[in-house]
Amino acid sequence: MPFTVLIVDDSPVMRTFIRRVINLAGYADATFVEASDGREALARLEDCSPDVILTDINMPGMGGEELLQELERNGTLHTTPALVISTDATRDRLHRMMHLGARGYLAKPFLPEDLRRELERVLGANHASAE
Amino acid sequence: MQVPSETLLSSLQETVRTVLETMFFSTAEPVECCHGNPSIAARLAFRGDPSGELVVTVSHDLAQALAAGFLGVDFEEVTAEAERNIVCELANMICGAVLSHLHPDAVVALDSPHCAEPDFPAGGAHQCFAAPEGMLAVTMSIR
Repeated sequence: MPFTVLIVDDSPVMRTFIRRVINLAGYADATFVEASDGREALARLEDCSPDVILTDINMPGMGGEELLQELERNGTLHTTPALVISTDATRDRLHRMMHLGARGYLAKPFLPEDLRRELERVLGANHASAE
Repeated sequence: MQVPSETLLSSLQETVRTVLETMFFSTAEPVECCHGNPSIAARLAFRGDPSGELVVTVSHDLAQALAAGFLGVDFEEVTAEAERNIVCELANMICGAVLSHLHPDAVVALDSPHCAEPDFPAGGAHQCFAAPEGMLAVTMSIR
């Protein structure tokens, strides 16, 4: 079943990499919406309802922590799972992001299979990849 | 929170290998210093406990190959901007991974990486790497 992913990352090459990995993981019909920081992500969410949000933490402007706080406040996280993708894998940061409502945490570097597993876990069987 | 320089160097070597293999589908081996090639550099500071800085310098040929591998495009499709962005992303991944490995309980914030003049600052752990497509140098200081 097709699904929509909101990718929030200030690095354009990282957004491209994530799109590519998701497509290669068997989700060829996934649709992508992109934002370069939390503020832009909130604007995108006014026009679309993604099935999952993938967010970085350290971004100029509104970062991932503030984004999760706002998504929790406005109720988005009650219906849409958010996964964090970050280079920062310190315990304090991980606990803080999960406490703010993230459903998963993927530390870079990660294998394409790791992202596929996380997507399947949070999206459920309806969105299992074609592989 | 001082880390022995040998421990930092060992973590840098292992992290660079892992990052290149996992995210860039490339390989590199530690080598003696060799700083002659035209290159692109990215600099990244981190603040908190610990604080410090990381500088990554990548030869143009290798930056082009890494960008092609990361983005899944042919070499000739790689733009100069993509090369710079790739080197910044590489710096980001190496720095985050080394810090998380050496200081898993640290409370630290990473700045956004930015392009810089190629530099090999003194005072930190420094290692050059050879990949099939070119050279890579990493310098990291933690205080």
